[in-house]
Amino acid sequence: MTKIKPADVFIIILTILIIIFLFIQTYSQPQDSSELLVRVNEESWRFTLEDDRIVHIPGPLGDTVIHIQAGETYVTESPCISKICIAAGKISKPGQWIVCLPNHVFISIEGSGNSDSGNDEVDDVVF
Amino acid sequence: MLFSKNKDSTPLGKNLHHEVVEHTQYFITHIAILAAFSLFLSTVEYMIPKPLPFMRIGLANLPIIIGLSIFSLPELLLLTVLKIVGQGLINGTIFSYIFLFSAGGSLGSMLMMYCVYKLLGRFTSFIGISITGAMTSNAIQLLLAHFMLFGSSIWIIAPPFLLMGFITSIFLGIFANVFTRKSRWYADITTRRKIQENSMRKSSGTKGGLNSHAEK
Amino acid sequence: MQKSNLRIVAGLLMIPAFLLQKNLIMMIVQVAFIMVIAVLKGRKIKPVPVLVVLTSVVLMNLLQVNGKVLFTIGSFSVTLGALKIGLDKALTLIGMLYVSQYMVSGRPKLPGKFGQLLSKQFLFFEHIVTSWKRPERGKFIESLDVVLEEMEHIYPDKDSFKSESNILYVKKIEALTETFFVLFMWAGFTVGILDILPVG
Repeated sequence: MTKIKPADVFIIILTILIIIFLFIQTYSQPQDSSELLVRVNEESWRFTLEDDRIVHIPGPLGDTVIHIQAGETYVTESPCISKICIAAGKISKPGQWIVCLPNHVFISIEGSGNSDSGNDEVDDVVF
Repeated sequence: MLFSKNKDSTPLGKNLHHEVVEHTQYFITHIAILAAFSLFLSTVEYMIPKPLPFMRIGLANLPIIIGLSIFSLPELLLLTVLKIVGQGLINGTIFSYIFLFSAGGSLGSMLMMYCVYKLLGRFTSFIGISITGAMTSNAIQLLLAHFMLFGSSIWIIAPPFLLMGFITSIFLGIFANVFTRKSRWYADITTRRKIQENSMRKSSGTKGGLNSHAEK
Repeated sequence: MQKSNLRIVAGLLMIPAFLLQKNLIMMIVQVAFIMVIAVLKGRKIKPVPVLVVLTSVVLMNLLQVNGKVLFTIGSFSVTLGALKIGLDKALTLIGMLYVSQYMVSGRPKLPGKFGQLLSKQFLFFEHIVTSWKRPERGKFIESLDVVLEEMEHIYPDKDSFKSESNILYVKKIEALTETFFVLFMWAGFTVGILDILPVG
């Protein structure tokens, strides 16, 4: 019925290959969904680590300021006295966490990326 | 070439000038005709019920695909712009993101198809060209959607979206093949076009080339 | 000013008031207003596509978790920040869509050669729609040819566009209505900017 020419076949095959590649890329990768989870008593907040952000989390003693930058998270301001949470530095991998006990703030990274070891994981925190 | 006017002021020259201008008028009309068909096809496509709204068939690109074998690049550009603006006005999308997506996709796809047509034209039928156009258009739309509307989550639907575009573009290409072979109107236009091109080429050379007008 | 171009100008003046809007509640007000005036001018609102756009944009944006968790379904959390962003984008899209509908409702005539070509295009479009008959099997392309060839002969004269004597000019009352619309949008913008309402 219609003539198919050689370059047609070439383009068809090329496109099929590209599409197959994209299907594989998109769907077989484990969803790389590392998220930052912040919990204060009963409330929780979640943030993707992809976008840089400065977050203010209200707690019983006041606001905690958390920076998310280049996939790393750290606390820059906190109303607590000891400021251990600020000194705790940066976390970036699933399973790691930072806590501010006086302010009831629990910060952790959740996700299905690789965690270093099972040791870092905490099942639950009770204040 | 289309807009060049022969300013030869001898009586023969004036005739030629008139002919050229008339032909120019003709082909602008043809551009408008194909552009109108684009509008028609996009309305048809709009009415076809689709389970997911982002699955496009791309019917409105068919006149542009066919136009590749009739028009020159500036004319094709004009055709594409007419199509884009016409669609924007009729659907009332002219100042929304949707318009930008459609404009970007249509322009990019037309340019890409033109390149492929020029470079590989001998080895490819409209099927390959149609596929190229559809994939380019979809890719551009995905990119625009990513940056302007949806963020990274758009890539999840990218593969089926591209697959759908691929399959429909094959059918469009087949139709274009059949149409260019069987259509009377198309045959008529392409021969008229060749005659005009020949006569313009000859007229810009020697004065003896006016005889070719008798053929029309 | 030509009547057909009035709404284009009005629409253009309204657009910044809408795009710069910060407050979500005022955005809803503005979008509702735009849809109302579009309907008043004869455009139709199809609820299904609007809802589909709304939900799909919002859902897509919710996938990027961000903000206070409102509730969780299975392993998927709906966050406040993502919801806001999604709503903002969806409303912007819908609003702009209907502003365009509104602007186009006056059947604008673009000036110049391009405008003429555009008019030709629409002329032919109407011809196709009215005179293309459903073809029988096997004669599809022939039926197309018939329509295509017909259109070649409807070439409008060069003068036909100038002789359209209905170049209407704007009446005072129309100008006033449009001004009122524009001012309403800007009032909405001002309310939004003043941070009086929540969700801003």
